[in-house]
Amino acid sequence: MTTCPTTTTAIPEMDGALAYPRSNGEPVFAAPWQSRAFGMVVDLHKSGRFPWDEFKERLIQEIRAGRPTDVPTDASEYYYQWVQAFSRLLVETGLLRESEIAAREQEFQNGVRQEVY
Amino acid sequence: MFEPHSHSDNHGHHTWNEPSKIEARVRALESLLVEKGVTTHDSIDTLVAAFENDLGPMHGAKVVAKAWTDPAYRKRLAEDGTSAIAELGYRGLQTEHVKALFNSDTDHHVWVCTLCSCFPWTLLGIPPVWFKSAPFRAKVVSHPRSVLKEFGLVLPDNVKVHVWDTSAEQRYLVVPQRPAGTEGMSEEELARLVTRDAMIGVGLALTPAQAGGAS
Repeated sequence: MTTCPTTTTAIPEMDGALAYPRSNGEPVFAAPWQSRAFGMVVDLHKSGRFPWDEFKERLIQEIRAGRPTDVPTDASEYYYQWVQAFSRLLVETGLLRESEIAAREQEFQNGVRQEVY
Repeated sequence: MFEPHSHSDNHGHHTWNEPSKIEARVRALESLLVEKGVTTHDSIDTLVAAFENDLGPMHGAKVVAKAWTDPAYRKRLAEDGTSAIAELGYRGLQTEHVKALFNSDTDHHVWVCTLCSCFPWTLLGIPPVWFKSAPFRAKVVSHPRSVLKEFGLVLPDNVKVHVWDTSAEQRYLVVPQRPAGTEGMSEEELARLVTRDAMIGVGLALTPAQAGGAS
């Protein structure tokens, strides 16, 4: 009688330096952008756009490049690295072009676009 | 931003806490990926919700599902929540005194811990972040309807909202109303409709369609 919701099984394990930020055992999203970034990566992995390790390797690289001596304990920093790793993966797998991401990001930053939805 | 140090404004970890830029980046990615049909806003929502919900044993959901299907159990749960829950083998730390609160067409229950963040872990897993926030704890007592609205739950005016304050000795479990269209479902299937939010009282049980989207 230990059935789990089917969705959760698709969320890959991450441990050690890659562990999701937690506070008192509880996963932490400090801001909506963090949960959106999280959801996008897991969703694309689930739908077969890339093997989990492809993302994981890039996240390891980002974490190493960012704070080589620290285990990331701050959720914002962790998800910043998460977004960097994801951005690189999207470009390197050809799903998005660097130029279109930069242009769209600019539109959100200068207010030309405001709603994602 | 992809290649470290490839832009003048990018110095690796030095810029990580610049929220507007990272927010813009994430929005850009989401809007582009959705436009290209690679993902949808809904499926991201679903994954985030699953992650936030999968924080511990959802024994409470099984208690609710049993109460929906077994009238005798429902009666026992109403009379003595603690014993009825113990019947299913869920006992132990922090679930000593549990009162079941039954939602109906006329009454809606929601509970909060105004003093700290008491939470029946064994029934509901780990408490959500908002449950512990001071604004939530204060506002749910003074303005329960507007808090529920923030959770996307708008109740008809004729439904009376009851707010219960939990404590170390007294815990609560909201038994939401059984959704329509679930007549043929097994207890196990029904339990998947019962969210943590519904058992706190800030949400309703999912419809089969909503739950189907989550699997």
